[in-house]
Amino acid sequence: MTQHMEMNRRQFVVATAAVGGGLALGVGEGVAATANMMAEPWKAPPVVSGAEINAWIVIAPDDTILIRVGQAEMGQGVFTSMPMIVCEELECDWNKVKAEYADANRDAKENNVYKRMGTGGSNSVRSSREYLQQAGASARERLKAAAAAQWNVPVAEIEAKDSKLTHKASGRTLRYGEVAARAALVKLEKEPALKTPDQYTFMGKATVKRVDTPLKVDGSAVFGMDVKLPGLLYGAIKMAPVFGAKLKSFDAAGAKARPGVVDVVELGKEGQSKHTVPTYASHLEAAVVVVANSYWQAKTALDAMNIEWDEGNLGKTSTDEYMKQAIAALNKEGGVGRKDGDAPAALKSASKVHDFTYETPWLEHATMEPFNATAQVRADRVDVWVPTQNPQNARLVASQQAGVKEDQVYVSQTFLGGGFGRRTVGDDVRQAVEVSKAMGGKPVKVVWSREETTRHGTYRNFAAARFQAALGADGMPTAMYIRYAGHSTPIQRQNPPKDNVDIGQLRLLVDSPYQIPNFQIEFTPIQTHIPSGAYRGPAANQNAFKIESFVDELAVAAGKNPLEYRLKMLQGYKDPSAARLLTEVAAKSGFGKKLPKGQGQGIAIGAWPNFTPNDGTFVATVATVDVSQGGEVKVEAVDIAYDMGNVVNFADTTAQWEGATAMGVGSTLYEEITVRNGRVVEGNFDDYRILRIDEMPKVTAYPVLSGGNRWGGVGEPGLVALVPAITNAIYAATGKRIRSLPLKNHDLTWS
Amino acid sequence: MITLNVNGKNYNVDVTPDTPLLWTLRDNMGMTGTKYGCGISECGACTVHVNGQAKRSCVTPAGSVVGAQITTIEGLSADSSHPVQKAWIELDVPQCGYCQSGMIMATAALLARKPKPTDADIDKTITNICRCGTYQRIRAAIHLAAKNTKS
Repeated sequence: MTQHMEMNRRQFVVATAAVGGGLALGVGEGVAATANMMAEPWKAPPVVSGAEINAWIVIAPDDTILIRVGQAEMGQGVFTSMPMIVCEELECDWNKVKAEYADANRDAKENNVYKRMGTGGSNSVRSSREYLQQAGASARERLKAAAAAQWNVPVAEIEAKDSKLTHKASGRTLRYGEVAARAALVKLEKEPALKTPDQYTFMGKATVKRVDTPLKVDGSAVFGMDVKLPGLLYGAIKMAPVFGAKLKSFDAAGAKARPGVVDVVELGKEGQSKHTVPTYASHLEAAVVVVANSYWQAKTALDAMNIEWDEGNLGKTSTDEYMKQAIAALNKEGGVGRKDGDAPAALKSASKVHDFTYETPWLEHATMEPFNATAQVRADRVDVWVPTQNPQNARLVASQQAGVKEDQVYVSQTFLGGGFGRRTVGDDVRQAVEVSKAMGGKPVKVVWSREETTRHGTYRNFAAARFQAALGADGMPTAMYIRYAGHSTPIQRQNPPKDNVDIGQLRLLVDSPYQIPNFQIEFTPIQTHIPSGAYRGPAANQNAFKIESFVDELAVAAGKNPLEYRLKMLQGYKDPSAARLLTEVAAKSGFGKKLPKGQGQGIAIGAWPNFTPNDGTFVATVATVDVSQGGEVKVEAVDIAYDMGNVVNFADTTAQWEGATAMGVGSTLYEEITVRNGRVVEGNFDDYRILRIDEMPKVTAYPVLSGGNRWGGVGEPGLVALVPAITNAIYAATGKRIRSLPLKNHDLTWS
Repeated sequence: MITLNVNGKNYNVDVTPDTPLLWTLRDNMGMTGTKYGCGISECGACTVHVNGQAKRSCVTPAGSVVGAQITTIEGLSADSSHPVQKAWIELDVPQCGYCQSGMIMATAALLARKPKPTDADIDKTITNICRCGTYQRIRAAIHLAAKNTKS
């Protein structure tokens, strides 16, 4: 490899703070004792006169390495895992790595230099690993080239390790910091090849502590709610209680007379929303915002206000009614999503058809941090501070609503108090921008109460599915016919899916690994006025429940062990991982052991994002439950065997399985969004119950990794096989089959 | 104007006495480590200590704690050296982190009262909500902090 250098002053970058505009006060700044990032994560830690090797990496003379993170930190540890990927190739000293968010404004100015900044789909590692490895490898080779040039030796004789460059033959060494400025000028003729997983020494090997933990134990981590600015105003918002309703009247004068109130702003007026994408939730929903000097002044004035809404016919709708429509739709043909053989004919000629319908409700993300965004709109510059999963979308929304170019929008991405798919939309940003505009460009933080947050979600959509099957003489299915009716996956109230089939919503069904000669799946869209959207494991989080419950029922009907039955149904499937995981989790959990009545184990399999052979994450789960005679369910233990191919950091991976289990046990037991008279009934944690510590099962996750080039994600698959494992365990414990969720609606008493 | 003693210092704050302590701390005093989660005393994200007792500040009027010793997450220790914070770091408890100030404050109050809590004590006392589901590590960290606390 040859290389040449050229002097280019622009490649010397002094990395200092304040990419977000330098507006923030000093409060909350400063790196905690051991945190290698700032409490305001969009700001660079102090790195003195570092040389920018590429958009991801800055190396300072003292060997400090600053790595930019282009994914959102919402609990999954990207400030650790993303720099680890860079570090693997860069061969740097991890103890000197510092991190900050990549800057979405720079991304706009420099032709999408940070690529995919949206976080979702458990894709942080899956989508960014290659280009982060490339950034690290490229930087390493340029450091080596700079050292080779200084010593006048062939670059092949240079070794890079632990932030040191060594020329063995002459015994000379240089620190990265000593050559970084020159390395920044090196142009490689050819980008280096990437390490393959068998060559890793850091990723998947070391258990690395999270970079952000110190900021999260002393209260210093700055979430969207915590943003402080000079002259900041606070907006309390009340949106139309019925989705899509219009504002009829409100008493602005009364509110303005109250202490601290500065103004009252109306949102959702005709033509006011400058959205270009016709999705429901990124509109400006009709709303009243009271702007005051503190949130409490704004909220109390808003609560005292008399607001009237024009609900039209939307006020007559209910989730019960929509579910009835879905169940009725199961009696007619839908758009065909999968067709192997002729399932309807096979069922017609069968002596017995097993025929059950499964229902799943709407769910709310219930992020611990209620919704909020802060904006300041000036003529030629818009600043947004927001806990977003997607700063590129926040940038787009702000530019549309303020009427500026995207490269005039500066997004300061805060820590996220939970995301789970909800913080992808930009409805929060659009409101804050519009309110700041209405306030003459003053900075305003618009805060949703918990009740507004619960009642204006982009919910996990509902569905009903009818499963029919015929069994052969050996008890195995010869035909399976699924009719599925529900809301489409994307946030689109207006438009039904193309050809009436939403393949994304049929995830884990159209791609089911079970080998059945006659297999047909149909979909009927049910349009509702309730917005739905991405929710930790979209579609998979409810479809595993349906098919894995049905398979369990078939095993019982055939008089077979549910594990053996599944293994037989998987015979001939192209990826042996599925069967391996079932076998492994059964062994680890002691599946099949004799338990007293009231206790039981259930088993299930799932995948994210799909059952694609040798791709993504497969998971098998055994839940052990205890049901009291009074019908109270306690999930005692959850054992998980997973194959995501390769793992970056086992510490965070294990945490994701634990956390997703808590979320899924809670949703299985209690969670359900109910709409009556067009509006969401539940408002707060007293009526939307979340799992608490006394209900937490013992979770054990066993990696059974197939390695190779397989890279699965881990945020979402923990919600997939878990749910049917619990309900199948309840059947084992009580003989009661659960065909709708949540469990709180079922009588599980036994004697 | 009322006077509050927070983390050992007196502050004169311009709020009406019925303003919740939570919003007084956050908006008027700039102490944002104490979090808003529900506003109805359900989730515990706003937990602070009032005279050493865990208290949910979202339903505590500022006027009701005049003269009391209030401790927030910012004042639990100067350098994250409190045994609970150290255990939290040791086990990497937080995920998103939003609820953790409240969890840590609730735990610190529990340990002050009961240095070696049982699992049943934890179940009964730590009623805070964590949507990321860090409960397994919280429980382990509470026991670790108890072990590391000199009685």
